[in-house]
Amino acid sequence: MIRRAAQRALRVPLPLACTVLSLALGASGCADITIEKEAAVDFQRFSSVRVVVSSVNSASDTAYLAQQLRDLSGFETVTTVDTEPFSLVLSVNLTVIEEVMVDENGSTDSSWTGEATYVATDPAGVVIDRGSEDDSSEFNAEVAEDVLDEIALHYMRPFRI
Amino acid sequence: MTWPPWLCGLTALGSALAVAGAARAEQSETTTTTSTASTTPVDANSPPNGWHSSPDSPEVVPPPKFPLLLALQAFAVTNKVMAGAAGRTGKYWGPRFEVSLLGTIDPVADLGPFLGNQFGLYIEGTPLRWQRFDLSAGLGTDIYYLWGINSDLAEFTLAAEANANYWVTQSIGVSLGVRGYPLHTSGIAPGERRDGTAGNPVLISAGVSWRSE
Repeated sequence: MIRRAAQRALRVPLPLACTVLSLALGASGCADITIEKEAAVDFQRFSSVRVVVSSVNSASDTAYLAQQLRDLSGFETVTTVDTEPFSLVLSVNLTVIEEVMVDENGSTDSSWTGEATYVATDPAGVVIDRGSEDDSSEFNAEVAEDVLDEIALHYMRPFRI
Repeated sequence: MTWPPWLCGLTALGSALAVAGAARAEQSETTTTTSTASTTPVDANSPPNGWHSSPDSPEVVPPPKFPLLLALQAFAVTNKVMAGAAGRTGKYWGPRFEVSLLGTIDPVADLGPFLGNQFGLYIEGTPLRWQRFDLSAGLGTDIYYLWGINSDLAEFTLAAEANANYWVTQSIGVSLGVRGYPLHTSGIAPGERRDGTAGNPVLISAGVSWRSE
């Protein structure tokens, strides 16, 4: 009986209440959701960077990271040589490890894990920023680039949208 | 106050339907009273498994073997466009999946208008389920995969949400949802405007729903 009375009491007001609620919520305006990427370093102070990657394929990895930073980062200029002026040195130590798994039938399966530590120093050797990234892949060729992509993303130019 | 035209339209449509439903509920109550007086149950003329118009009528339609709800929905976000689809299974409890496209109508330098996708995964319960109206609440996550900006960029949120459906027909209805993000990663700031000032943290969605019979 109480349930029926409650149902009767709710019968009309609930849709109306929902309408009022929706209008009240809508009247408060659209949600404000800001997506942002904060600057990893002060890109105005450190506008140029020299990239040095220490790995098995140092030359190609250095070139790859430098290109990624040119495309993505907040640095105005990116260089791989010490003959050009730079305000920051980004040193990366990259290692790629192969993990081989053998199942009970004796067949093998490989996966690759890449780990990188990086440190950004000013010309006086003061550490401005440091960190580490890791990633894994079934393909050897991809894993180093994936880890370097993560480092480039860390230095992405800041935005608020 | 920014008030997108589509939300205006949908809210107005939902409001009109809700008011119409309320009026119809009242009419149904009157009919029931009259029929009771003449000892003829109003449901006697209803087809088997018929649809009761009163919002609190007992659910005479047996639950489908595979309860499914699909919805097309749009979200009201300042300076952004966010719209997509949602799916829900389970009669009283079940998972809810969402996917939306996310863009901005006010892009900044170096970034285009397309930002990426929102993916939602919730566990949702439906404590209120009438013939014409149901209300669900859930807890889950909204993942903003911002591949329009960078393929490695994603932001994660813990989300609490509620969704209401008003069923215009037995299987087609309009929906209204609200959600908030009590926890989130550092790259997304709910309730914060682009200039850094505090804004509205409540995300409203509206759309059209379909449910299996």
